[in-house]
Amino acid sequence: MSVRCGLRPGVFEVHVNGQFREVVLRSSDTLLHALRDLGLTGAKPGCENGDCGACTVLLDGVPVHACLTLGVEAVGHSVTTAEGLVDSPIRQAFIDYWAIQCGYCTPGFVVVCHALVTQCKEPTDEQIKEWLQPNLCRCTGYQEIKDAVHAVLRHSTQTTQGGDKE
Amino acid sequence: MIAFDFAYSRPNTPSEAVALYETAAAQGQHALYYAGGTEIITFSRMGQMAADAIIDIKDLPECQVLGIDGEEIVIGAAVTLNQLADSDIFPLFGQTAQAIADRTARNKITVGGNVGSRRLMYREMALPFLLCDSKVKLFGPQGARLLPFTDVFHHALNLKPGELITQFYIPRSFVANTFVHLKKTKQSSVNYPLVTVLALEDGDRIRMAFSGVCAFPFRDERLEELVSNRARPLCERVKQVIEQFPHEVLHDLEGSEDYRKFVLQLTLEEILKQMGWAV
Repeated sequence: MSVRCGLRPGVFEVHVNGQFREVVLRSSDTLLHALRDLGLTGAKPGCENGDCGACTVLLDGVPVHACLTLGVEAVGHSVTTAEGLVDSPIRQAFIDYWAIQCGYCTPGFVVVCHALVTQCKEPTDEQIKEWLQPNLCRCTGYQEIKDAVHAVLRHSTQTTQGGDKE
Repeated sequence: MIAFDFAYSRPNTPSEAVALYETAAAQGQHALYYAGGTEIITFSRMGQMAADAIIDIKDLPECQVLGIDGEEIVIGAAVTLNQLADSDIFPLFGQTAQAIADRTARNKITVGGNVGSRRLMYREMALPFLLCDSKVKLFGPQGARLLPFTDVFHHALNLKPGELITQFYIPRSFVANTFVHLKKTKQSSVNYPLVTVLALEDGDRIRMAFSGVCAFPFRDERLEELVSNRARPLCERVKQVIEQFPHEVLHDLEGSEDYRKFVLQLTLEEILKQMGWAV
């Protein structure tokens, strides 16, 4: 048995943003609330129904809705939240391109865009649309978010080409 | 927030999983097998589903398999829709998977979970299995058994208490066949289907399976005969299909019965034209 959690809350060790953190979990707690109880409030409770993407985090590098994941499912896996991406190129690009309005959706977008630019080096417009579609921005700042993604991809391509020349 | 507590277990073998189920059942508890969990969490949060024990099958090695074994493609029940689509192992299955939910959700939704959905009637991943003479491997209190998919899936999954799906087997011979997958939704591209039709060419016949039209997914060989009869013009064949549709067509907030039939008619015409079966 790799993981077991009874009817009463238990203490679990979860690997978050490169560190092992102890968290008290009910088996029915979602990962969203488990993270927020740790003070990691980047993942936002929006719809809590998997529809808005505001709670997106990476589980072993893969974007998931934290509201549709149990906290205990993360035991034995690696979680990355927006707080774990403070030094990422995509976060800086969001600032440079003003891909922020009210900011509530921003951490979810930063997380999913980070996964996109690291996993798809040359995505098509259709792939970018598919990756961003799960996240809603009700301020409708989508164009600036796409601009930020393209900026990171452009920079990544230039760096690679520069590296090849050397 | 889910307003009730349950015992959560993540076993490493099918035997362990079934033993956990039997232990819970013996104590009068309601146990659920859990893979992606999106449906269980959603409906539990809304108070429309409850369980005493959740048995997470994601760590069962059998359920994570995605590959080729001789003349068959093997898909583990806990393979996610994105893993299946991104693998490009069988585009018929990949395109069907890619049309379900959104990309982030598809990182959690599993093939077995979608086919075995209890609360959502669409179960679109069942369509390619219905068309491709697939088999399903089950594991339960009496051990493992391999059955034709259609033996355990009739509108929904019908398993014995304590049984779980571990793997699906699809003959590789179908990979080269021409197919068309069309999903029509009311408004946005990501939504439940008004009409989903999956069509697969099989010699002088077209196989067809439907979701969204009725309260369950199904394949109907009588409709396939009608639609494959090239002696009749396209519009007449499609008209016959609509007139002789074997089950009650849904009439709900997503779309009225008449609107669904109208969309179905256009969808069938589009499919037959794309497949070169219009004349």
